Amino acid sequence: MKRRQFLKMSRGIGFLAAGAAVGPFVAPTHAQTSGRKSIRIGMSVASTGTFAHDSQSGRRAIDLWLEQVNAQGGLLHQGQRYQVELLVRDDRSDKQLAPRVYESLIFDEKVDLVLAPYGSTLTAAAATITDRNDIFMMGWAVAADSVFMQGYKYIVNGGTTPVSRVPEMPVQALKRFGGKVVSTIAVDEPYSDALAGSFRATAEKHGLAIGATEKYSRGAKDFTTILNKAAAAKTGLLCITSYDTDMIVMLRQMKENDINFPAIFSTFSQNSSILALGNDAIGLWGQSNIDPRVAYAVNLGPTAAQYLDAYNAKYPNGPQSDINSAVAFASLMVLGAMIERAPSLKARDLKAAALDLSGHLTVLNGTYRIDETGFQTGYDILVIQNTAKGGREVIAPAAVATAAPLFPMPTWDQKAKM
Amino acid sequence: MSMVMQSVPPAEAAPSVRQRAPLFRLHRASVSIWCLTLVGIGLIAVSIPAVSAGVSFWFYLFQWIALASALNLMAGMTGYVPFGFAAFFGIGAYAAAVLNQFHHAPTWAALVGATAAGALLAVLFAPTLRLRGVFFSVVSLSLAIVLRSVIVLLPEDVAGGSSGITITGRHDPILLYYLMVAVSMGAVAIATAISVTPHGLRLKAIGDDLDAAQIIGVNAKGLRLAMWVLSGTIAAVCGAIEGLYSSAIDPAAAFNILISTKAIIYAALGGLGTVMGPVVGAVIMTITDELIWALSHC
Amino acid sequence: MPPLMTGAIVNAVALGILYGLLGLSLTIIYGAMRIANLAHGEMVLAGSYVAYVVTTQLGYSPLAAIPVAFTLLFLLAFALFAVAGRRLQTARDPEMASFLFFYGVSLMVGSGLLFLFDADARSVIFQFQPISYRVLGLVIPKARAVAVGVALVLVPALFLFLYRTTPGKALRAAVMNRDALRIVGVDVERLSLVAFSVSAGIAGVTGVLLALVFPAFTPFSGLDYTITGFVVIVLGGLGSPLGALLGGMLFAFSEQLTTLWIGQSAGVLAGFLILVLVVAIRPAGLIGQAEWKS
Repeated sequence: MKRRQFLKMSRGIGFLAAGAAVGPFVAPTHAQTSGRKSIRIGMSVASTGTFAHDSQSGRRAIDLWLEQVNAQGGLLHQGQRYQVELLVRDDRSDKQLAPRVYESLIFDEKVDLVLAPYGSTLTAAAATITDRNDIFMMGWAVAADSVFMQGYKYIVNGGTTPVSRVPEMPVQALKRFGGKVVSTIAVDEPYSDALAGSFRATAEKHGLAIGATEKYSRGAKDFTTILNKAAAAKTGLLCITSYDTDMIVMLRQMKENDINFPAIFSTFSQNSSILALGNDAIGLWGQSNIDPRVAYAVNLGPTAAQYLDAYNAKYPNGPQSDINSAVAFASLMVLGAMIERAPSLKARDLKAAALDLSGHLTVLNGTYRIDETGFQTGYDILVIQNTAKGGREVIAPAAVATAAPLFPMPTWDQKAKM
Repeated sequence: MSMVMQSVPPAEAAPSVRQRAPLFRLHRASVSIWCLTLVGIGLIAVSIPAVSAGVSFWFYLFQWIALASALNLMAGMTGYVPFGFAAFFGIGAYAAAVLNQFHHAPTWAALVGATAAGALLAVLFAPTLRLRGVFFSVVSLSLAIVLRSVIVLLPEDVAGGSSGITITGRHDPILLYYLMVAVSMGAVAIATAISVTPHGLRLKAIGDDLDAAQIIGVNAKGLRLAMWVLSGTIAAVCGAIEGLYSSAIDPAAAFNILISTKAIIYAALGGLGTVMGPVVGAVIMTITDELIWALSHC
Repeated sequence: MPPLMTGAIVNAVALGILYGLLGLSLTIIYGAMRIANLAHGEMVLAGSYVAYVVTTQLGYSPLAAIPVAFTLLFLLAFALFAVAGRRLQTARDPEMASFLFFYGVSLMVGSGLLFLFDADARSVIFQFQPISYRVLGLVIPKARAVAVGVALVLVPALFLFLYRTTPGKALRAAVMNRDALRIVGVDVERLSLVAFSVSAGIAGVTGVLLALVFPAFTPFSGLDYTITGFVVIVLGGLGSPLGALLGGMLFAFSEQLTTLWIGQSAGVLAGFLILVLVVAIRPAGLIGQAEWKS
């Protein structure tokens, strides 16, 4: 045994030596080259895992922005036009890989600034690296309020409506239409649970009652019992804050058991996977940040309609622009303005520019407004309702609504006849 | 395995000096080479922050060396494969985060707390060692899922709920990196120490044939429990350091079953039951992973 | 809450049978070969994707997907076994070797599904007419009724096979003592091949039935099924077909009733806690054989 162990050891030493030799090449340290030729922006996108689909949706819009900016000669910075270079890494939706990705971007690629990864968890993991190294980070899909309570100096949310402000429009709408009870179903994961909690807080603020507050573990498959509990609580608006997979299962179980709600809200109601359900998707409330029929007084970049035209021209065969594409594009528009305004690309100057511009920029999804921490306080969401034959209407905010709501939404019997 | 059995004295009632002496001579050469290798790795590890701007790659490399070695103490040496190994990593991350974030404990206190939590959890889960094979593995996995659910169900101001905990206090990444290096070297050193003492043989005997080992007088229960507690505690410390390093802890990531399966696979790739195996496995897999990742964005 | 209560019980019965079926094929493989098939969930999931292709893409009834899924998974398992079966069984530590091998298989099947169908959710849109039956004020979804109906045909057929036919009896004998079986002249190798392939086929059928009841899935859903399957068979007793059914029922009931009384998160917790409790009291599971305990 000893001899064998010894042989194993010596073989191992060989591998280790090889590892030690390879290691430094894997993470080399470059010397900085002098003279600016372009503006280098780093970002990470997930090729696999939970965030793959959403982060790739965002990336398509970011590529569109890049193409447009570079086609017009680049960004005007310090009196000169620079082409913008985007350096993309893969984070595989892995919280442990995100810090590594941003270190590589900062030290190996010498990026000037970075875009955040998709989602609040990865953004927080990456922000510890960027903030420590004084690199500015533009968040575009960072909905959790908590990220901005950590004291990071150089992160700004330029695109997303934060979780705490998403429920405002749906809850106001429910009250206006005469609903009285809000129920929530969440999966026990950060975004979902936070959104459900903020729905309840918003409902209480507006004097509405809370019905069922159900939380389930990831991997649960049967929701019949919790749906029945929500129905028994005379729910007016059921907020489902989990994934589209679970939402599809829930809708099927509602249909099979003939459980009806006057209104159902989900972030995913306009996802292709939900729309593929046909008539079963009619009446659902969803969240969007843009709609071609809603034109804000845009003073920077394209209107929503113009953006969608450009997007569809670049990606004629789909996938279609979704909520993540829109927020990514909006935050890049804002970022471009910051770069043009800031005296340098140092994190402090970019953050100062971000604060200066707050409240003065209106882009395709509304007015950009941040507080000192970089937390977004602008950008109201649009509540979109699916209608018959694949149509959709904006039902809130009231000022920009395109149609009166179907409230209560059609029952399963009625949908079957549509 | 026949070689192992041959080297176990037929009746190990009183292992005499005469029997151990020849073994020890062979030891000396291999052990000293091994110790030199460890020193070499340690030197490389210590010099990394000076030559490399970012330490994340190295941080996670040593994390996996530590986790694979810790798992090996249990799985490799006694044949118990804990699918729920992630429970220890998770409890360590949570203990450190709760102490540091909610109770403002300094870093050292958070780490001590995490160590205690890991050891306590291992003692709490010790009755599962009565089970064997798939029974043990599945029950261990179930306990990890139960622990995760309990943490999620606790009030938010106790353990952060579903949203997890974001640690706001700053922690020096280089210091945490050195801590991780120390833990991984410690794990490997413990494994070495165990394998050069008769405990190593006894453990192997448990792994090969529990009943036979007990008949020849090996205190199977005591040894197994010791390995279990050691293994769990190391994993908990890893979780704590990683939690402080990444500063974002959530239930899904902290109790990810991938932590168990990766540790098992890394250790098995290099060779379960050997001291070197988990180190080699973790190094190969982390570097391979790194190369694939580096090539994917060319 | 009486209507909620009866609803939950009806639900638990339906789910229990499906969970039982999920465990049944797993337990046959484990019992006959001491192989822990960690790719079980992915095999079930492959069956669900077969249902997706047959119904949503080709427009046939999900019942047509049952033979397709069975054949496909049968062949896949046959090939797998031809490649690695003997090596796994003669490995020094078959459990560890099979764990690693099948973990690899699960990754490959999962990635294969990801490659073929992308990461977003796919759903079986097919719907039975009528959607549900109303019996004594209870709503019973037809999809569930059909799934349970098929399971109720499949399970007795399997039991007939296991308890009344010669290969079935040999298979159960293999659970008890492989070496003795070899001595009396049974070709254990071929027996294992058949058992593994048939079990994989049944896993595929289970996938179709699960797709009827839980119509949405992604390539990452496999692990959930694997965990449920293992919990169910450990609960019931490894290698015991009846135990798998019993384990499935117990798991479903504890989950449903806790969901009703406390909440879904606690429901999952309850299922796993019952497993830990049962195994603490009876380490061999509800009706497992004593030889498995330490």
